[in-house]
Amino acid sequence: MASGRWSEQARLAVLAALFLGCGLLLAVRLYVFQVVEHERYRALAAESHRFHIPVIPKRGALLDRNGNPLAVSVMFEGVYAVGNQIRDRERVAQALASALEMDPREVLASIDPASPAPVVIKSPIPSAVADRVESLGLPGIVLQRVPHRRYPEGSLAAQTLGFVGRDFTGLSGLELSLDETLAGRPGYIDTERDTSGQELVLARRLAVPPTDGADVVLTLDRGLQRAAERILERAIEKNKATGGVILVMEPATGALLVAAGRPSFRLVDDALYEASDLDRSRPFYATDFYEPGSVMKTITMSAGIDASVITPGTTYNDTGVARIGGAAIRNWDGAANGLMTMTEVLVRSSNVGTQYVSGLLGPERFYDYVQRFGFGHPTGVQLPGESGGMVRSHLDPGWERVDLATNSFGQGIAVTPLQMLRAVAAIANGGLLMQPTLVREVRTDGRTLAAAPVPVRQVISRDTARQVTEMMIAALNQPALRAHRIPGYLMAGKTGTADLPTASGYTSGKTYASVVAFAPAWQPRFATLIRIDAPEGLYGGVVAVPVLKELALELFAALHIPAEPTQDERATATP
Amino acid sequence: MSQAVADFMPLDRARPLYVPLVNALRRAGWLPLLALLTGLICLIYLVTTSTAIGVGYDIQRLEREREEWRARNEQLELELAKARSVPWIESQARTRLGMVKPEKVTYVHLAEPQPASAPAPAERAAGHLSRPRAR
Repeated sequence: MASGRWSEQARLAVLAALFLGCGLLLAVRLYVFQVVEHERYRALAAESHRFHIPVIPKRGALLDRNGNPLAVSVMFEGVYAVGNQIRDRERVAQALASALEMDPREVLASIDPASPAPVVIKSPIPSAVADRVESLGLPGIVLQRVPHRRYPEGSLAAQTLGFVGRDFTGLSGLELSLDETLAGRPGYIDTERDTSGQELVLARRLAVPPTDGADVVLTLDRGLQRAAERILERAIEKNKATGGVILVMEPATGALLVAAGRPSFRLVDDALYEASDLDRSRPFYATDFYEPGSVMKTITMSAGIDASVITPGTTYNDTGVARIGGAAIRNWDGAANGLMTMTEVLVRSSNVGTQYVSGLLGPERFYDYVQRFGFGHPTGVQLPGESGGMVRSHLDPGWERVDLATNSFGQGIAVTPLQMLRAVAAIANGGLLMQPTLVREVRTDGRTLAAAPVPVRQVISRDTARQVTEMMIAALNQPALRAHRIPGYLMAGKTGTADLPTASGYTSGKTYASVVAFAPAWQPRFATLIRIDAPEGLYGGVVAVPVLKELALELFAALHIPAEPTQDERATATP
Repeated sequence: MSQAVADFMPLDRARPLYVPLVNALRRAGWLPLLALLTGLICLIYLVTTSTAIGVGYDIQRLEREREEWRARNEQLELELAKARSVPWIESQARTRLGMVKPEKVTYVHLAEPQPASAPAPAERAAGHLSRPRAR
């Protein structure tokens, strides 16, 4: 029965073992696939046929304090060409050019015959044009809706608002600093495709809905901002200046009503910003510092009165020069003013008289007040890249005694316009320093979150603030500036003129002409800083004060501030 | 005898209940009926699926339309905002209405009118507030 080397039974046994082995192997592999690596293979399978479609949230709007839109997001359609789906490019280009009112050669040049991805032909286009393109039914031509940032008020407050990039993220100004609030969170649609790559009709599911960005109501007032920008441009042109700043703040809240800077840039719709634009796109009133000059004397006087080393009536004999460690301190006009009160020191803007106050204070107290007024630190306003200025105190290397003297009248110390305005606004606010803000409220999901004013600290007493206000009233109402007074309105302020440094030092003969002021003096509704850069007229009193008058007239009207006809009414309003 | 045996047949040998049904079907020709039933089920499935696909397409189309209208609404809101913007109002005032910026602004002070229901200062001084008005 047995034949050859193997019996039939043995061969069957081998075959059975072979099958059994294969079966076992298959079972093991099956176990591995189905049990051990179940999740991995399930994910791989899902990956091959499932995919996500991102859903872009709507970027929040930037509104002015009255809810008028300054920057909004709008969906616009654009025309795109998928080049490798177009056979007759000339015919498509001709038809498309007619619908889009473009040059056919331009359209033809935009179509890349090898491209499998949509390439933009024209974006954005109005809905009516999109309808026209759609009705053509051109192969390989698709319409896609993408968001665009629009500015209904034009380039108003361009440096403050900032701009967004192609990917719709903020790149400068408030668009950058408030990006998280404005951007929202994207969602996505979970769907599946068949073996040919086509999406299955019934597979769509909104897995994660998008969260639209919040609308941010700013403290800026579009009417005042526009008026201030126009006044600033006129002043720059009239004085043949290179630029300037106008800031207006509510002393009681720290809210900025106006933030205008020149030179600026145009918020052109969908512009690819030039490299030269980038430098002008900074909100330099908060990012760049300068030597404030004589407006700093208000701070020195505040410190002196608050520390009880002087009163407004304290007298000093101004001989026209003060020698400190071998350096001579002189007045701006080189004059010797003789015996005068501290109020007269401020009115005549005496450098010699002011350094006397800082000398009485000593470096510890003087720099303590400088710090308390907020110099040397960023104010915390909602802007990117804010500078803290440069304050070199007696504790820093390289400091000399003469620095105490020069710092007292705003030289050898650098501040941002915003810091300077905030410090003066603190005097207007009874000595209480506020944090400047550009955000009034945030609106999201039908809720409104109001931004409360943030007091920082009581820098000087209310009584000191009152005395300094009286001194500033005298400074702004001196005979030399009488022509710029506004009947019925009492304003307090101080002019300043500081040399504009260049690479070669302070030899350019150019200045920053500025003025800080608040009004009405005893119930201040606004504080303002005006700075004109490198004007022909050089001095704050000559260049900046006329601008102050023009601006104040706009502010009185816009803020409904009534005139105060008599001296008696002013006296009764005194706190 | 056989009837009697049948009457007392043990339970495990009893004819299943479906046997008469099967016999009936066999007599009626069950295959066409089964085919009809299967066909009906397939038809229902096809109709349901095609309806669902149709509804799916409708939903997608309506969603596209909704997005389109939403976009158009946004565009119209933008146009409205532009028409309400300060530069637009100013340009319209200058070009269409021929308005010009005043050289000088004159403020006129007017006495604030007294509310109609409030008594005049003289009446208050005379103590009229404490008396009933009907008198």
